[in-house]
Amino acid sequence: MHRVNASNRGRFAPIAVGLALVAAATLLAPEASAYCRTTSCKGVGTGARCTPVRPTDCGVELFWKSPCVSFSMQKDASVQIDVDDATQIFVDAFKQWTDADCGEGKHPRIKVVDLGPVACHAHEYNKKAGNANIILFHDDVWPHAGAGSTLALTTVTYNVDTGEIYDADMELNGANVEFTTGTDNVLYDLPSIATHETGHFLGMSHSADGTATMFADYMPGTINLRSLSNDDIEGICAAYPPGDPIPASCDPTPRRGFESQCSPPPIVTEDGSCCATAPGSPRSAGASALAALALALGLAAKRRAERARP
Amino acid sequence: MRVRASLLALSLALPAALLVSPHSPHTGPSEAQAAVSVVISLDELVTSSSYVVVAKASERQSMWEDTPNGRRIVTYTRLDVERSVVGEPGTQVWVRTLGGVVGDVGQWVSGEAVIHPGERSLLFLHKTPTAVVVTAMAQGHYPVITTEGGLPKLAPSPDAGTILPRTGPSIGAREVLVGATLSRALVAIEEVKRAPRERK
Repeated sequence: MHRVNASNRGRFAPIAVGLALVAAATLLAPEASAYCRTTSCKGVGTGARCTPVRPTDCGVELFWKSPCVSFSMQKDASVQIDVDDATQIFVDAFKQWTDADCGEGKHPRIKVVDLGPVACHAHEYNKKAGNANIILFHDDVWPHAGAGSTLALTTVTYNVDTGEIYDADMELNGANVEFTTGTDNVLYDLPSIATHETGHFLGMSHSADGTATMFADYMPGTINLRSLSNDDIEGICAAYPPGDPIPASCDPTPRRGFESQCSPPPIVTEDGSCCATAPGSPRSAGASALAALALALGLAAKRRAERARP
Repeated sequence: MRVRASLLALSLALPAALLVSPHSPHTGPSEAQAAVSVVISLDELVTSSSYVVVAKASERQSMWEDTPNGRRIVTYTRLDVERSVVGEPGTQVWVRTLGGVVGDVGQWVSGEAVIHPGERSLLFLHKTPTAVVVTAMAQGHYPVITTEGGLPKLAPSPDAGTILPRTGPSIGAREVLVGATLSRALVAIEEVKRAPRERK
């Protein structure tokens, strides 16, 4: 239970030299303090802004507007790890960030609350209904490309103009990967992956500092990423500067309310309208349907043309 | 694997290692990335792909779509196929990637291939029952850039996420392809195509 099926041991022994060269190029490179934050670059997509600034920095930083954010573990968790243990791993991972020492005993002004398990087993952002920031395992089939190679995937939904994060969901590949959680025989350490991914959940991007949890590459078999480096701490303290204490009444409810089920019915207001004009509503369902129809017709025409080709 | 193929992989791996190092000036800044993946070899990439093409992205459309794993934003990009190395996708192929922007809502799916209109790329594509997708997400996407000397070389996909080395000896596809000239990359793919049984 402590090995990844995707492993490829014992093949291509001669090319181990190549791997060593790759590792050497990575490990011997100089370190630099360079935390980055994920950004929305209009017309481009997502990007990053770093400290110090880099030539290709662009856009506005992604951030949670409320200092109280929540997450929910999917209730079935995984055959590899039950819901309580999985939840605790992510609670600990988030605490690494929220308890970071920003100096003078102060911490980033953000807290992440566990709202308890949810039934929905899907990434979902509901424009017109309640939501949950779900962490889920796919134990049967990895539903995306890269089934044999992807361990975890995070989807962040945000406002492209302001950078406000609306929703964040994490998917973990339990179908093809066996995670380890202890300190012996460590391979793909779930707490390390959780700490790295929760950094992204909070809006952090990859750092050029080779010691950072947010460094892009790390070696499996270690638990080093479970705790933050100074670079990570500088980053999270800059993203959520310490300020007034977060009041106990602070509401961590997800956007448009907490929802445990998938595809809940739209919220209808007292006047009978829905939330079509509210922030987060990208465009009408009719426009989406028309766009989908137009694309489907285009694809069908293309297929007909291809069939007709000699 | 034949000696020739091993030497080819090693000769490509060293410069590529320098190019894909996170500290390399060629890679630019870290972009928005969050997926964690195990490195995939060129052999696996080729054998998992229905098509391998050199193509230019001509247009793209993002939309909300119901998928078996929830309703999400997806982006369809039309590729004008310049050269097909594996399979016969026709002169045009629509590729679906996760994430995109619809109205004022953006959805960033870490580790997915991000294909920009006008961009020329080497792409490994997998045909599913519902769509053509990029094999192994960003690990199957290599934009073609032109160097100062005018040589077309391969760059990494801009949002490759965290890619972990394997537990055993192996060279990842990106170590072989990133930094290689397009022609050398195509030779490497042809090598893989020609020696399928020796790889197993």
